[in-house]
Amino acid sequence: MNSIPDQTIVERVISGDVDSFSELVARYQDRIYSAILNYVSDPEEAVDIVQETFVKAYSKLDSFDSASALYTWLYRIAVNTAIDHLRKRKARPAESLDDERFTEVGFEPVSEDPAADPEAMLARREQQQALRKAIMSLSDKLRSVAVLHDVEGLSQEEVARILRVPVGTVKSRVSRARAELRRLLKNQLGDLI
Amino acid sequence: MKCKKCSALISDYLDESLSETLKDEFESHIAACRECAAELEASRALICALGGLSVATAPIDCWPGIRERILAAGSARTGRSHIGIRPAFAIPVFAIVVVVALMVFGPVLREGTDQGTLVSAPEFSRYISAHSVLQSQQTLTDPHVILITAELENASFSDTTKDR
Repeated sequence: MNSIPDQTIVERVISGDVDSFSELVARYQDRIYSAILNYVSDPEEAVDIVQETFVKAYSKLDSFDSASALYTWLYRIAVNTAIDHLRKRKARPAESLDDERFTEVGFEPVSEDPAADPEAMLARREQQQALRKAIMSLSDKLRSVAVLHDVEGLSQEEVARILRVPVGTVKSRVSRARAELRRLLKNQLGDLI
Repeated sequence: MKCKKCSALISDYLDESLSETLKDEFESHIAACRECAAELEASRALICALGGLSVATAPIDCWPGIRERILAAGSARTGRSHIGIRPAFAIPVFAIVVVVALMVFGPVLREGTDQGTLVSAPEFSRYISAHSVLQSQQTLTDPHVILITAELENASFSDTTKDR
């Protein structure tokens, strides 16, 4: 199924084949979910935002510019939806540093490798939880660039297109986000090396 | 190069966006400054860790919920509302009907007596018929519709047999 280009599926959906949209959901829901987990820690809440993201994307498919990649367009909708959600909630999820929801299913995949060292796995999980918490402590602007650029691996140009800001602004925010994350993780950076 | 400038360039250096000249200057300073070298390594480790954050798997298949929301929102691309007239258009359509009715039957309205503006029974019937056509297609919850309906019903009319 992955051999069918995104644009082909988009055209099918626009022509009235609603169920074809399920293929796009299957392709990108995990990446969108993973990105949104940097904004909200509750998996149920994240799923709700994922669904809202795709519903918005469906309603705006007519406006999708095929010159850009579908996933960058989806990311934009996802980031804006997550930020809107947080503003409505008026809460900063990283306030509770001991939030047990960070350990919920769906947050980090558990290695099924029987040879994996349990202590190493635990250390890695703790490291990733610390990173997630720190990311969620960032402001919306810095969090968005950190997630899109450093976590999701998008280029600065792609991030600039998603956020509709100049590339120079992205570069500046990336630098500030990293500096802020270093400050937040200062006591734990030794574990990251 | 001083430490302050070096620190500001760490991010660009790790993104490989420094010019060759600046890069050489930066690396020379790093080689000579333990603090900046440590900061560089910490930043490198951070970026590596961020890139290594696992892609989480959604706990459920999101499609059923998405599909349900799409259909509920009525944003299916294959169809519009099955109602003949959307509520948003009801008022303008009704207003147009009233204006047309007034234009058609206006001369009759202006044939008043000393008792004021009178409407003959047949003409009044035509008003009610025109109104009823639209009224049957919408519920009388719109305050504008209710007001105009009330005004029509309150209009006096004379039973002029000579008009039959």
